[in-house]
Amino acid sequence: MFDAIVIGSGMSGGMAAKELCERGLKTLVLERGRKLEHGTSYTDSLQPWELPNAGGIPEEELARDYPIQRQCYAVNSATQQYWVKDSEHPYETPADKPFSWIRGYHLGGRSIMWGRQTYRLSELDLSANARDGHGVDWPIRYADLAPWYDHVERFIGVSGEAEGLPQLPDGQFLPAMPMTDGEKLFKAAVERQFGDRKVIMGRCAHLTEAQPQHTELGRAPCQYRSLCERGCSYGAYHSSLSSSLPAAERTGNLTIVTDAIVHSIITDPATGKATGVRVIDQNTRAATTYQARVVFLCASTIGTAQILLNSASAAHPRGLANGSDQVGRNLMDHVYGPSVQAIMDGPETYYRGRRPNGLYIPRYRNIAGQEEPYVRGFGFQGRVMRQGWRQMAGSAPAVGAALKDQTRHPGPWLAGLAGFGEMLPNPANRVTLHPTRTDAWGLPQLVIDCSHGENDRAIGRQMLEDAKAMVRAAGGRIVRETARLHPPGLGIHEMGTARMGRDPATSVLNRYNQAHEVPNLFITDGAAMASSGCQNPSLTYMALSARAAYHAAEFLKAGTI
Amino acid sequence: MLELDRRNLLAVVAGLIGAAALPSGALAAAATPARAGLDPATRALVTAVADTLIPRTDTPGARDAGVPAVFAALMRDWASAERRATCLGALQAIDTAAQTTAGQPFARLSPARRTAVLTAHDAARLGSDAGYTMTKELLVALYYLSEPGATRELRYEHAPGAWEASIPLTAQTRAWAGA
Repeated sequence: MFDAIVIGSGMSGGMAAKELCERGLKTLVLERGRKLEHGTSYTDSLQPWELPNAGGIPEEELARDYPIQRQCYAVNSATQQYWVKDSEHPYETPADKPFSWIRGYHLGGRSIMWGRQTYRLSELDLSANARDGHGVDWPIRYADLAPWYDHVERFIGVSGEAEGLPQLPDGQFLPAMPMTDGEKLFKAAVERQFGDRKVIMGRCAHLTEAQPQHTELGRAPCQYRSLCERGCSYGAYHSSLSSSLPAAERTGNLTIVTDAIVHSIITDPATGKATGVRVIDQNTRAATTYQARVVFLCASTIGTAQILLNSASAAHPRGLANGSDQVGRNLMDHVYGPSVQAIMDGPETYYRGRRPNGLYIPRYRNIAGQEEPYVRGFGFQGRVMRQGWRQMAGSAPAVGAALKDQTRHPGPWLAGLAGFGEMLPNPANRVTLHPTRTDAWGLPQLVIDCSHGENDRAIGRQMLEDAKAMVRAAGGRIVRETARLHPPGLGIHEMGTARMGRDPATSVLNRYNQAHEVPNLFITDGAAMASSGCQNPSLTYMALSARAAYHAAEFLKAGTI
Repeated sequence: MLELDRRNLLAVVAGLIGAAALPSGALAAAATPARAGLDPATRALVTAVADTLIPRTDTPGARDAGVPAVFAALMRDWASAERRATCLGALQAIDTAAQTTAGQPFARLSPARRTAVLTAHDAARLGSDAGYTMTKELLVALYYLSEPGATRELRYEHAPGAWEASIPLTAQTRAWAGA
């Protein structure tokens, strides 16, 4: 019998486990994938000339086993171990509605491969549903989250600059990474021409200066290698393996069980409470049950929905905590795909090191009020770097000494911008259990039915137009532009399948991320999100996790759950 | 690295990584053939082409860097049947051009003749002939990813340890290598 079970060891589960352990709760973390060791499991020591197959996963294997995962930018032979084989983890989509579910099943989950961009939601975001009527009102506001953002940021370490922007609140920042001279020029040009826009340094979960709370966990400052998605042996970016699980471990309250696929959550019909979790060993297929006083479900947005739907019982015929019929619905990702690249004139300077971070352009549309023909808004990630050897080698025909000479020098400045737009919650975008098909462990397969709506497409169109205008303002000559929206999922910011809300009839979770119908069940991963904002969401998941862990511990103490 | 960087990288090296461009169904359907190495004539052709593309100058060339052997290994261990056919076809076309314009297989030509033949071929096909363009990108990438290519022709630091956002750029400055 544990005090708490945390299902999932990724970004949310790691933080929930740390907070629960630090509050004195004997906590079991269940991870469906295999164990990874911080450092020894990583591939960050591989030199460019040591990459298996020069970085390529054998093509027939890639096509057979990774038809979805291969769409992700970070999939290569150095990171292959971190991605599921789609062939072993099938799901279904309608033929005309592809959904790219990008995932990794191992201790630490996607916190090992995440993009590390770290932004707060703002009052504007948390009041959006109430303002325009899409989705249901968030039961919390910025003031509820702000102290937990502070708390999480101090612990994980976030590099960034305070800007004083209400739509992108400042946080507890370590020193920002400086801009290149090309970026400074781009920033000046954009801000001069567009009074409503700011070009800022990206905020990322990297230690630019390690603080005592980081070094005591063995974390060291960023070495500017940009090999992050291979795992960082320095622990320079926050992950469950480098940071939250070690913090949980040192309390003496943590137990981790890997290879443990959660089948369902068990509830007691007499009390209505969760009593434990049914687990299948992914290797032996042996079934086990673990019991606890409180359950945190952090299996990732889609995995969490699957577990809830598969936990149906007489008292919960539609799935656990699903009286509202909102479990699995309102699946969102960020509107993603539109991007531009432009060659820019700029200062005759270069840089040293590989900065694992870029520029950010916070949202500027629909800030003061509803001004556009669409609701909500978007931001951009970007960078201005010199063209590298690959682009220079292919930039013009050349052979022999001429090719070497063409490739040997840093190329011209290349500006790149990619938009991230807010996707509206839509109950028709949903995850359901397949009526007949099961996976290798006998669990129902998922059907994912999700597509962009007209507002999402309008945001995509505006993102491209704005990106073009901004690079042109900096004198850029556009060399590549992409209008197409990627399939939802490929932003890898999926969220919304067990939303928070004020009304149990229309939402799954209350203001504490506590299931309306199961008082000792807390869901703190992306599933909880009532709207998507346009900011990278991991920080919010962690803040919700830490906050919910506090309240769960208080409720246990008070005997109310 | 932010997602945009990787997105761009992916597009640029789709020919190398094979991550975005190929129809997955066709490849999945293709049975994995028994993997053989390249025959001696093809090995000689690969070596000659790679070393003509990137010869030894004041820094090592593609042959010094072991590019032909790595290319052969990729054809055996990495390339789909379709990719292998495309690459080998592109190399054969260079050999055919040598036969047509110089009357000999490419590998038998003098270095100066090879350079002349390949320069004309490259000017005619780079960008317009997808198979040739991809094969050249692959050979070139293998050189700049190699230790001599990354550290002697270009500059590479595995762990720079610092981010210096602005340093002087001179005519002597070499580009940074890296995957």
